[in-house]
Amino acid sequence: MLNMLKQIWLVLVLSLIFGAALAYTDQSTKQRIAENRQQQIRELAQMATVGELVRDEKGQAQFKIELKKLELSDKTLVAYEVLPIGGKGPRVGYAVIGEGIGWDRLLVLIGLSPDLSKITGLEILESRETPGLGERIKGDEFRAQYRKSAQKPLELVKSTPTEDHQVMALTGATISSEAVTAMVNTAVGKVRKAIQSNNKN
Amino acid sequence: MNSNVSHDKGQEFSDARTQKIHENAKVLEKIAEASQPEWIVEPGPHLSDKSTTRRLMIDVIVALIPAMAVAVWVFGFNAIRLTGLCLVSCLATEYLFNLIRKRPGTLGDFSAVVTAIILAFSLPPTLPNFAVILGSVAAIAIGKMIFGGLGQNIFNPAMVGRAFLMTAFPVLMTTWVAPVDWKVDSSAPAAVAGENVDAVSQATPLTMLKPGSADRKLPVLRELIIGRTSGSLGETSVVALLLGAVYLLARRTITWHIPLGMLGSAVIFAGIAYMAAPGKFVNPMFHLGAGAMIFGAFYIATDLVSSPLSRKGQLIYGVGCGVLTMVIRQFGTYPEGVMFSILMMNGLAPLITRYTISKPLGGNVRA
Amino acid sequence: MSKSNLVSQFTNGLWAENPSLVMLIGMCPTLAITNSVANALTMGMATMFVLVCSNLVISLIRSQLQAHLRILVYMLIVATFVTVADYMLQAYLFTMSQSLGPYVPLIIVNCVILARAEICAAKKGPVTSFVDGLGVGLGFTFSLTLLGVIRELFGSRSILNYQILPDSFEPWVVMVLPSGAFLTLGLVIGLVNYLRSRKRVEA
Repeated sequence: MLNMLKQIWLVLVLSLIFGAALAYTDQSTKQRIAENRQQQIRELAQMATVGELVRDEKGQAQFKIELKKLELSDKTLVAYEVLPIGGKGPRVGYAVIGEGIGWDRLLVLIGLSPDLSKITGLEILESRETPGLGERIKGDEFRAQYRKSAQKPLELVKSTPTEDHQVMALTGATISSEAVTAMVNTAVGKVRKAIQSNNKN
Repeated sequence: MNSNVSHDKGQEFSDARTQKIHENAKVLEKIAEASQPEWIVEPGPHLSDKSTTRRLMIDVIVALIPAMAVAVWVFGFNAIRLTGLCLVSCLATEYLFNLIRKRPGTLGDFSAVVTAIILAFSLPPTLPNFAVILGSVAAIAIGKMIFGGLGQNIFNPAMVGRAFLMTAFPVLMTTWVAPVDWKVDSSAPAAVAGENVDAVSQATPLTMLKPGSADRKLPVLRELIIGRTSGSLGETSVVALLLGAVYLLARRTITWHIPLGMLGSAVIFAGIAYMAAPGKFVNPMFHLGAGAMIFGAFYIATDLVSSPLSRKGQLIYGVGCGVLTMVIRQFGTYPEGVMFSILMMNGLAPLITRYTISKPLGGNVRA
Repeated sequence: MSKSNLVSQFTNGLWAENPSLVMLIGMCPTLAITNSVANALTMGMATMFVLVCSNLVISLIRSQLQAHLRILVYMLIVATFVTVADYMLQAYLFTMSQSLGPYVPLIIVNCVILARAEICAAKKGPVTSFVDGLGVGLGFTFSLTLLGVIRELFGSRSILNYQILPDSFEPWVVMVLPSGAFLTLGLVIGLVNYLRSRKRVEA
């Protein structure tokens, strides 16, 4: 026992000290990290619903909206109600976070109109696709294609779309385009179901 | 082996025996130098043949003349522009590299000319000038000279250049145009829009095969054989390429092993797929005629430096190229797989050589 | 410890034993995140912070280290500082930490740090170890940034997101891809070897 203690006392003491140090770091940064994440989601939500985001000289975003997290029965779904700042006035829309896999994990934020009939915007929250190929899903032109009616599930095509619910895939980035389209379809479908069942209750 | 290593590094010799060997080697070298060309002392394999690097390379150039003629006929000025630019920049790169490394010039062996022509023939006709130059520099500098020059390179230099361009400018490298006199067809969308009037974009026969492609109007086999389809500069005409290939085979610049392995395995692979699901896959003859299959089999995969040495190895290497090409074409995201399959097999070539090299009489010597 | 020794310990890490260009260790971040200067700089700084702190702590406790437990203790120390660095980045450089992704936690297994702990910190005093960490850390940051400059310039025609090359310059996508990292690293190492061999001839 004594021999064992002699061997491990350093590890034990260090673990205690470091554990305390980490706890302190966690405590002191936890709030800020959560705020950062919230800020990012809020910026993207404004882009996806209002369509623009003005920054002041310091690079601070000038918000026009507030987010209220929706309590949904589907716990895997993260969605927000987008309200004008101060909560005055009618609802601006909804923001839903869609998750999926392209070549790697993908997170997108989808903006929806207040009556859930239209997609007002698509923003990429997190992506690690191949630069020059898959990463082009971040491009404005590609994302703009998703601003359309949400009544029908979107369909990905590889040539110029002939119907309204069609989205044209990026050349050389079919898998990433497919992933985004599938994520949008699932997320929109889920959120509509969840919000409608919420409203019934 | 000892003498070689220490000789190269110029180290001090502690071992008297090693030193002796080293001296002997030097004497032999001197004899060899003094008595050329009657006496050549060098390690095996011993070839008694008049073939020099230069002769082999000139053969390849001659064999490519018909394809060049078809390229000019089909793609017009772009064919001359690409080939000329590749030639100038490949030769300039090689010259500069030799200058920097203070080595004797190697332009005279014509290998850079062959690299330039093969690279040019594997590029899309409308590729802008800067990309052509960059690809040529990459081919010679990264593909060949960095390894120590001709004979030392693991990968086919022209394919290294093309792979560099493919990853650097994926969009430019997959923009294809229809042959020149098709541009009068004003129903093509690009012509209507008024942009790019000097070139009508058109998917290559292989791109049309990919699911969901816009215009699935597969050209008839006759078109593929003559070469009036869109595609890389020199790969379109089967007839012209075969003409050159017959010349190469007759001159024994290449042997039949690699082309047969590659084309045979590709046809068998495509044939099995075609028989299993005729609706989903196309006729194997189409695969043979489309894309860079013929060009790759006779001119690129047969590169003497980056392919295996033994005949058996060459057959295996060819089969590998063919199968990989078909796997990429039918199951991959890229429409064409000749470049990648040849580069991959290049990497395996030393290993194939090692396992197929003929054994000395009396079995293996234990190392 | 004399002053000149400290200076040589410092410059040693910067050039003669530069981790990624000479020793070829710490290749994962060198290849993975040098696609932009900002990424490379942040990564280099974070690694330097961890390196300096772990070197210092290991050097302080080196007399108490049990030979068979030392790797465990190193990992404990390194992991702690990496976690601190990760939290700090998330709190104060949020976008940066997002673009670095999993590579910040991966500093734990960066062998530059373990190598310096074994080679220097476990044998020498805290001042020397501190200076050594600083030198190697700066050398690492320098080589990462050098690669970052080359790759961002040709791959996205900018440096630190500030556009340098004109719009007419078509970006070489290959430079921001992993294959570009290998190409650039190879060419830079070749250049460094050339410079070093020339120096040796002169000396």
